[in-house]
Amino acid sequence: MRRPQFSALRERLLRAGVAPRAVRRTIAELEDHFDDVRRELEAGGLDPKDARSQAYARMGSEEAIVASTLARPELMSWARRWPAVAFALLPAPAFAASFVGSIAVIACLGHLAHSWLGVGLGRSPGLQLFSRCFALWILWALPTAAAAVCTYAAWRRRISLLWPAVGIVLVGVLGSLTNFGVQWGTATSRTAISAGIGISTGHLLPPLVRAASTVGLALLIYAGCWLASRRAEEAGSEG
Amino acid sequence: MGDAKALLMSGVPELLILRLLAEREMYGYELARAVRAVTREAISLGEGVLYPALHSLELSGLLRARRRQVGGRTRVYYNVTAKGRRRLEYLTSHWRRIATAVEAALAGPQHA
Repeated sequence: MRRPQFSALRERLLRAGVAPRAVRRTIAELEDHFDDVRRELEAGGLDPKDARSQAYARMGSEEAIVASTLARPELMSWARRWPAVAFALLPAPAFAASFVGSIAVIACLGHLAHSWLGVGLGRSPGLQLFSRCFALWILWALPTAAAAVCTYAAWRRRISLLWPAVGIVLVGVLGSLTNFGVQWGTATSRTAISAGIGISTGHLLPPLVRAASTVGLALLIYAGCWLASRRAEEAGSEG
Repeated sequence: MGDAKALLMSGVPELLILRLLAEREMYGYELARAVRAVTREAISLGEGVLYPALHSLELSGLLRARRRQVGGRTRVYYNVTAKGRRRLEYLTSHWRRIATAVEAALAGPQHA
């Protein structure tokens, strides 16, 4: 469970560009250490309030811990150092790679279905349903997931919305232009998969809706995370 | 004064950590107590600054960390790797050279 005593330090480290994993670990070990010192002092006869304040003093100042962390470049987040690369440029290729990867998976499944399971697959209601779900995943959920991962990763590093916004718009646009279809093979025909990227000027509304939903959901996730961190910060400062 | 102290202390936490962990593996709180004990509290590091140093040494391959369940709590124990032992040897000889030189300077010039 997250304890409030080091919330302010956590925020300072994250905002200073320390990698989230390093921050999480440092805070967890500091909290354990603080508990150990407090127990030691209480066992030595101090009342709980004095034990707490002396335990804080033994931990050293927040400034010293932050300075000691920032003096070690290996603990810093590379994404924080290169936000344009990590959050504007990388998400679209990452989405493209997952799109291709998903198609490779379905192609393997089609191949296995044809070679091992044999006849009548094209008429199987289960596979038809699977195809529809897969199309839903690859055309709608995958771009949204890629954009959501981008915004969540940016929020974890306390990065402003500028570069992630560029990244999620690029993912949204790229995702909205993709298309996918699968025709499961039968005893006499092989499975056919069609996938690609393109736009039809006659049907602009569907891609626009897909792009808008991707961007909108990713922004909602960012706003939700931001609100949650604000509340945690306020709770920490009250505690 | 603060800068001068920081300069003097530069490298000391790393040396102390490697020296103490070379004897046996410890978790952070144990290590902080050991630092206090061996330096007779002459070196007052904020105990919190040990952790960035420990994590950095681990990332550099000088320490190895492992989680252990002790008394219902998970502790992260650190021990020194072979690379860490080599680094400790280097730091120890370096520190002794400096200490000897400073001692000689403080003793005053001795002309033949």
